[in-house]
Amino acid sequence: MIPNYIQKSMKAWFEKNPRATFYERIDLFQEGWKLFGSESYARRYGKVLSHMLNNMSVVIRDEELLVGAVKEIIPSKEQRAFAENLVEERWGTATEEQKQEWISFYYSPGWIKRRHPDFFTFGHLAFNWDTLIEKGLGWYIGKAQGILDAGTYKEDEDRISFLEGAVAGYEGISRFIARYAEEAARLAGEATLPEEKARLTEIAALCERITLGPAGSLREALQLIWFITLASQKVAGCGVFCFSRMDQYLLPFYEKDLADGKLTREEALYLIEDFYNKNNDIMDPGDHMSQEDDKVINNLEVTYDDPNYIILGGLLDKETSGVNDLSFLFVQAAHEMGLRNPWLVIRYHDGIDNEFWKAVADSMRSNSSVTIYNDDTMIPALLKYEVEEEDVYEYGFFGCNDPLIPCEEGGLRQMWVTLPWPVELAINGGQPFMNPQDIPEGNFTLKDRLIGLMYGPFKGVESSLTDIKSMDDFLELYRANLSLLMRQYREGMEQDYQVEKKCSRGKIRIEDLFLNGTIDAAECWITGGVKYHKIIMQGSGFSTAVDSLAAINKAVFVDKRYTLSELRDAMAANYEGYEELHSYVKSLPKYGNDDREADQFAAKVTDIFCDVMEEMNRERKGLYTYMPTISTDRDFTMQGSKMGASADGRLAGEAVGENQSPAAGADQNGITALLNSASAIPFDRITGGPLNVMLHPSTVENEEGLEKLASLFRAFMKKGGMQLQLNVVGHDELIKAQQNPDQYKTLCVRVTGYSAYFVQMGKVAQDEMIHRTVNF
Amino acid sequence: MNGLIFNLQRFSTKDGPGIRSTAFLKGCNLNCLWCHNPESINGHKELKYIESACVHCGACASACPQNCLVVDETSWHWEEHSCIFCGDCVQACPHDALGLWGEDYTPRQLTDELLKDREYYGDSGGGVTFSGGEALLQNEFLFECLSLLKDAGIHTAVDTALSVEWPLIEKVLPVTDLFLIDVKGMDTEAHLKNIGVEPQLIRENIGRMKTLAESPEVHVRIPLVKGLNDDPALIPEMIKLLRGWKALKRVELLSYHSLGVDKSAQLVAGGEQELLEAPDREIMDEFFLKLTAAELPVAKH
Ligand code: SF4
Ligand code: SF4
Repeated sequence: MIPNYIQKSMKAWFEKNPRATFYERIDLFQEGWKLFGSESYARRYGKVLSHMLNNMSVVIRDEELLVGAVKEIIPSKEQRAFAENLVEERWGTATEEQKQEWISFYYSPGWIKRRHPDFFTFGHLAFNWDTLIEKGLGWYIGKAQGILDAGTYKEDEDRISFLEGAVAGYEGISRFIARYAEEAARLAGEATLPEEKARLTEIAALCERITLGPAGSLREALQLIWFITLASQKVAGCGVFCFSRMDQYLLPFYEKDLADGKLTREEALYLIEDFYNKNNDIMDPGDHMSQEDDKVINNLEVTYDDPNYIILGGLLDKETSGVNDLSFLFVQAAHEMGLRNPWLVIRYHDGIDNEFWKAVADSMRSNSSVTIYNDDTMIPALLKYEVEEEDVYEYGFFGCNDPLIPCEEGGLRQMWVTLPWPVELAINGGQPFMNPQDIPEGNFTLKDRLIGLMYGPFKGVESSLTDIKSMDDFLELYRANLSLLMRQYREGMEQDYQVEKKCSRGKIRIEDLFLNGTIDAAECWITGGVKYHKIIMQGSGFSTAVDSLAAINKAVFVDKRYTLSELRDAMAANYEGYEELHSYVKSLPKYGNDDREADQFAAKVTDIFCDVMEEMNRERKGLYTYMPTISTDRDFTMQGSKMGASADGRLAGEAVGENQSPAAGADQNGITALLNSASAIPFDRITGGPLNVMLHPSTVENEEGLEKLASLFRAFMKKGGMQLQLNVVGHDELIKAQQNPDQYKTLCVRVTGYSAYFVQMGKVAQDEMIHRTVNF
Repeated sequence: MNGLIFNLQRFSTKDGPGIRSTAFLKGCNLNCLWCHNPESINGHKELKYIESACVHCGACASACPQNCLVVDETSWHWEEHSCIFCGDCVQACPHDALGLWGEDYTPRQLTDELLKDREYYGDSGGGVTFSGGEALLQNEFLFECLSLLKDAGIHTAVDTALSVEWPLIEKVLPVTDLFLIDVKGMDTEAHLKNIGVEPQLIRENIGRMKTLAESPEVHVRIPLVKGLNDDPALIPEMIKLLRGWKALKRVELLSYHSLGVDKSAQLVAGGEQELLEAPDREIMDEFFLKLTAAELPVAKH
């Protein structure tokens, strides 16, 4: 049972006014800027951060075990205008070049609106949480101060400034915790109820201990992590954390508490639930990927609605499983609470504990934010992209299913590669079908590069269809076009990072305080303070590329029903006047049906994509290693809007394939067929990305259904699957499906001895099924 | 020899233990009022036409090599006797208004298809189920398929109403691990009305199965429809029929659902099915309690 106070808090979050704002951040930033604006970047950063932390309200709520929250108000019109203007003043008048100097990466108008160019971070990374709780903030201060005192970087003003900024930041955070200790002590003095007095006294004492010292218990560890999270996310805007392997680094604390009789298993669960709730509570309402949502537009916060990730289970080394009692508790908490934040990544490995695997499947069955990844493909894959053996077992993920090695690298370096795009270029002599006049001369524009969403239009390799005699020839041309594009992307990115690197000298961001290497080197991760530097290349529109190549193979080289140029002409005409050809290509085998004719191209596309990536890494131009994922996030609509008709029958401008899913509605043979198709992808070369799977609750109901679901997942992992996330759809979804059948084409329902696609069932049967979901 | 299959259901979780695939064999000798698979009754191929999806464009008619389709603005007509079920019209229809029920497979083709999910069967203790229609009617084909699957080490199940001559049952016994037997009613008159045959043969076959020295495991499934076969007065006779059956490991009560109604309307050559109702909750509970009290292994419904 979730403690009552947490239930109330969860409920309040859903009902919260979306305009509620932690407005102190804005006022205090302005004040801090006035006080320290003339100092060097890093000193100013540390002092402004410290100023904000030292002056914001201390909020201690009733009954809670962990503390740390911000005070919110509904800003007046004037306050809103002031806040918007504050940022707008800087961004609005900046040239593209200046913007590039400030930030060299992904931004959206909404994102910029909330952030000051001299005080921001992209987040999307993992701190050294284990060091933090084992050593405490005092150790960090001592380390940075020690390097300063030793005079290691005597002549280097950038580095001295960096370290002084770091010390100011650490001290600010430490002081912030001390203020909670003081406030709790004060409230304890006022409290009349004995339990309340005891709770507050306990909070005061534990906050006091972790002000500088290491954590001495599970509660202190979670409390310390929470304070750092609150300061980083709510004040500094460092969102989308990976908390890395919490079941590992918290285990010694948990075991010691149990042994000392200081904590029961149930109390540990409550602590975890309190921690989850706090993560959820600071999340933005709304959906940052939909800029038309006015909750997003009007929000002044620097937090995102993206969840923080927690990594559980997995291997500790070649043969030892990391699954322990805490792993169970973390999953149980997610199952009971059903929140969007945090998001759990469960690392499967061969031989994983069966009871744990069932608990995971059970939580997924009830639509918890839980996903599974496969160590047996991820570890070999990461090793191919220059991750060292000694680090690889620690791997995790952040926000968009992007892999990382916690605290050994900075955050958010990604770009999208539209995989079907080179098919279009290959069949059309290197020219795009749509808007060829928009092709930029030479490289991408600065704007294209900055947002990391390079979907063209631009030119490919000049070629002629008469030279193509076989499918292998066509695949070679596909490879040449993909390789050209990826290298162009790289060139653009590397150019930007040269500028960014130059401009980042002497700068600091909050994450630099908690990464391995930055303090020793006295420089931020961007200029080289950490071990790993990588860019994720997200291969998007996967199924569109696979189905298009499969269609070309079948139509031109197997059935020999059409020539390549007939196909090209039909695509150029968006299939207008080519209805018969269009019907035919639509009926050809599609990825997602366990059909080798299509699935062989899932392997080929992946191999070509990864070959190019590995070549690029061998050539190595700059700091970065490139890593492939198969992932679109939610941008498959936008990517499709730039592409002409494709050989699989998709019309011009329509969305391309989502993540690792088959084309919308293409999978007709059920979930095992879909998983078998996905297993055709050589995942030991791919480092992340989601496969969304939908099931109806009736297929996996009761204990037997759970066993079957756990088996399904395990068999998929054994077959070389990489990732899986599940939607079990019930009543509400069925109603939506009834109203928007096009979006639910693949929803398969089983009714005792038979099953049917829901939207193909007639209204009577649909109504009855909807009715059943109400009753049972 | 070929078999006629009208559907392959993968990740089938209601037709026996573990993760299974169910192959539905076309053709049935019963005609249950509540049939979920009216497209399974005829033992030959059929054309499916979804009137609501049809825009009367005539593409199907132009594609038909037999000229057996006549389409105008308001009507759509099919000459069944000249149709060769080539499927050209289905492919030509741009609106997914047409479909073919029934596909030919050799035993090898079918089992190859079914073996694609063997990892899932293996991990979950599942396998393959043959359903219908009446699976036992395509007896030779069924036997071949079951034998091939047994050779491959796959758990096999046959879903049947047992309303067939005993030799058809006897033939597949050695290659079947599990019989899923549908017991559709007790009252002779009602049986004739609801199902189209008298229950005599079924009872005899059950009697024979009970006496087998070596029997596959048996699960009995009892579909209940309001007013047709859910009279609790029949429970004692049901108990008499099922009691003392060593191989019987599970009894399942299935409440009626209306899936078949819309599907029968989609069949060009099929009749319309009448809408029936599920039994009241209390009746379901009564069946459950009384059968459980008689020490039958009833699963919670
Ligand atoms: S092709 Fe399809 S939509 Fe057109 S008339 Fe035939 S059945 Fe109707
Ligand atoms: S199945 Fe073939 S013969 Fe029969 S109606 Fe369709 S096109 Fe004509």
